[in-house]
Amino acid sequence: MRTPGRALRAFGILAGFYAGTVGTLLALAALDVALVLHSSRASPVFTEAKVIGATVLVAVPLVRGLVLTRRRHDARPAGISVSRQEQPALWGRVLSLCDQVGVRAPEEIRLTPDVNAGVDEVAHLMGLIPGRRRMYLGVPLLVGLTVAQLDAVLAHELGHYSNRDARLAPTIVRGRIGVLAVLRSIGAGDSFAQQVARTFFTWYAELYLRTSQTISRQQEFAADRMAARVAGRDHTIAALRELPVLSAAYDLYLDQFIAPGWEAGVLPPPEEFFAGLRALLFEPDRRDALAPVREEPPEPERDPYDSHPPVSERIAALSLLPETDRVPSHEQPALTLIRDATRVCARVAETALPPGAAEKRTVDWDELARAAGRNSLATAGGTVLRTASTAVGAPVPDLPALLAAIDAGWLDIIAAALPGSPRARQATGRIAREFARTALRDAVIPLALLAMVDAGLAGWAHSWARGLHLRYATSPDALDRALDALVAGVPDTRPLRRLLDTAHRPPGPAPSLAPTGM
Amino acid sequence: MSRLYLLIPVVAAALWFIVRYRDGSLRRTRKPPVPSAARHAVPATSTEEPVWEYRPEDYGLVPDDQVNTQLAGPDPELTEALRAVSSGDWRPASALLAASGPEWRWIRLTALAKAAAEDDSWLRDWRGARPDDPGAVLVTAQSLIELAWQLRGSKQAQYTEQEQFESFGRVLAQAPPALAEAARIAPAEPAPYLGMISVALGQGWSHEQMTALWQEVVTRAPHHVGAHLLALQYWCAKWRGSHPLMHEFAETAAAQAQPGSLLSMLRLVATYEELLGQRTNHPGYHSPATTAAIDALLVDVRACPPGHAWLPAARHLLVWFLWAQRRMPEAAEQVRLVDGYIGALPWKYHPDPIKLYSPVRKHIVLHVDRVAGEGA
Repeated sequence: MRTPGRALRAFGILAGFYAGTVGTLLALAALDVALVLHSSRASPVFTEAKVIGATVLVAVPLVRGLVLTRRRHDARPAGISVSRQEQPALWGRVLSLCDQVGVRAPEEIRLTPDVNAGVDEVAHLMGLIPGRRRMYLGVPLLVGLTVAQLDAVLAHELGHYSNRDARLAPTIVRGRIGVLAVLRSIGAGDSFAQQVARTFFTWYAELYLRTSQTISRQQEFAADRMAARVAGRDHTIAALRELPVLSAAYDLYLDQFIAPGWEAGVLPPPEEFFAGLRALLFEPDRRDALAPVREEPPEPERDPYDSHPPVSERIAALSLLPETDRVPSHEQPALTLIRDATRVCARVAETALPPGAAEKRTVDWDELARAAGRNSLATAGGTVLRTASTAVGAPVPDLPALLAAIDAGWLDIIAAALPGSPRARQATGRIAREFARTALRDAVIPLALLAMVDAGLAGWAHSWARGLHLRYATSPDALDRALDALVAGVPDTRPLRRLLDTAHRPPGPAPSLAPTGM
Repeated sequence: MSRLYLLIPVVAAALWFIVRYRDGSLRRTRKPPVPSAARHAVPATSTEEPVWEYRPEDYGLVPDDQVNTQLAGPDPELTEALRAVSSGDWRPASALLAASGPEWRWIRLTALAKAAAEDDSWLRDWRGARPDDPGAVLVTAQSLIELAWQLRGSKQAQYTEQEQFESFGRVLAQAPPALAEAARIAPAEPAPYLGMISVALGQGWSHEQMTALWQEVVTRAPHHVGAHLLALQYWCAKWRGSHPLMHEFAETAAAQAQPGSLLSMLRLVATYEELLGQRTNHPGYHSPATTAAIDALLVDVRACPPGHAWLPAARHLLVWFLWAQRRMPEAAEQVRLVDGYIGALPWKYHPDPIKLYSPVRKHIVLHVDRVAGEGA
């Protein structure tokens, strides 16, 4: 066990921040006191007042700097807290891991709705003094990892607090967390003192982060070795490969299923929230699509202060280790550690969404697909209707009104009013007209699809493999032809009207809108 | 303590120095050395008149800025018709198309269709006044094709954007019904089928479909040079064919042609397509086959009636290939016969045709001039 000079220096910088600031403040105070006590009768009083004023001017930014470093504890911690009594299996697992890693156990475990796990300390003085330890555990990890992989992730996080490799390392790392937290939460005050304090602190923080970067990097590798020892080398590598997959899948899930529903004012039931993620993860087509992410972990855009080495480097370093003799084989999903998982996941899901979720309607996945799909078409179709209303100078609220306007000869005027590409804007004459008509044709598509959905000619369907998608009762070629006729040399709205006119539709089987996925 | 006031100017001076130092005005900078010539105030040479300057007009050629880039050769009637339609009068165009033979009609039709692709108000008047005028129907159909290709632009597919492809496909799809109407009104006219070759090119027809279409063309006009040039494009490697298919098509057409039909120019067009982007020192420009093709076209051109619609285009090709083979006197002879118009291969493939043509003709005429001077 050695304490390298670099660690001492980093520690010195961290401690020096407080020592320097407080020392300067004390010196300034001493100067003021001395002035007041030893003022001679000969010197005018106002000069002393000026010097004291100057010391106050210097002191204000210093005090501000100290205030700045006070971590804000008012922000509500994410997720829900689970007690030992509620989740004995999870707690047992974590306590056993702490024991193996050789660190103090956390006082609290919180389940969060993000793809992340971490151990955090409400430390004081930017990490110089240890404090209450708290473990965060993202439910997506429970959904997507096996018990052994979760062990590896948690052992890594706990490993940061182990001082087996370097005595000061935990303090340095805690310091980084503290300094980064301050750096990120730094306010945007405008007063001179605030600006000075901010500039000074940023400079100081960068000095510290630069000095501690190498230590922190070594700490990551050390934490990986710890994880490999506790959970097994192969499980650790598997977990490292799985995390980017989970992250990508969760982003895709939120982006393709939750966000469109949110826009339309609907949400899945809370107990379905993480069940949906699980369904997406285990859909064979999606698994194939995510395979490249697993094989070659993408390198995310890096925070300049991020000390994590690239995943590929970490995997390479781990591959050199021997496999542990007693590899625990815990291949069951990590979610099995949670008692009453459905209800607990539902509670975490409720914290996942921004405020306003309470006003949303809770629906099943098929209804969500219908509402979200319809809403996306209506939103996309709104542009051309607004443009047409402005161009015509009269309200054009829907597709029939737009078709009537086209029949009345407004086609090229409406088309020209649509936003065009630079190329289309430079064009003149017939070329400009045809570019504009192409743009209009594209802009009418969502309106036409919306009308087809409302007429029962098409319907939105839910599928974990394909996302929300349209299913047509008729061939979509008919729509293509009708739209071509709409913007042809002699515009003809009749084919589109005929297509949408359900009264003339030959009786046929109604479109099957049953979901194709799970 | 009151002496502290004395510090104020000192602090002010220090601040001034810091500011000036930071903006660099106090730092020593190396002045750029003054060139010795400039010190002696020599008058700039640029103000002097050049001793000698090449001017095309001194050699009986048309100045660069007066060269017509639209037409391959003079066609006063077409020029007049184009001028008339630009001022809204379609009557000369109607009369001209009706009076032209198939080769001339095709050339004039495409020129009018290009004009209509820019602005078709005169065309709509024409159709309104004479709905069944075959010329009007033809220009209407052909203008859709010209318009479609202008929407696409002439760049390769990878540089062409979605918006352009979509507009191209949409407008090109409007052409076949219009061409069918033209073919119905004038069943013996080959022009609608020539238009369909452009559609085949754009829509990527299969070889079988193209062969069937070609049959329709040759039954109406077996030796139509315009049709052969268009079909050659289809068989090019850059469109739906390959170099061997292109050469096979050109060779078949040239071998069966009568002297004076100018179909022998297909061989040179095919060679040019294959060598596109190569310098003229490429062996392809100097092979025995190329030399034979040049000589065959020279014979063909001499046998050709002077009013042949494609004679200027054939001469332009000869200028290029004779220049490439450094047969300057022969090249000069062709230049003198076609100078003033460059709306033909190879110049028209260049983004700015005069930039390609001007140096070539300069090289030719100066070379011939120098040889003549040495001989005297």
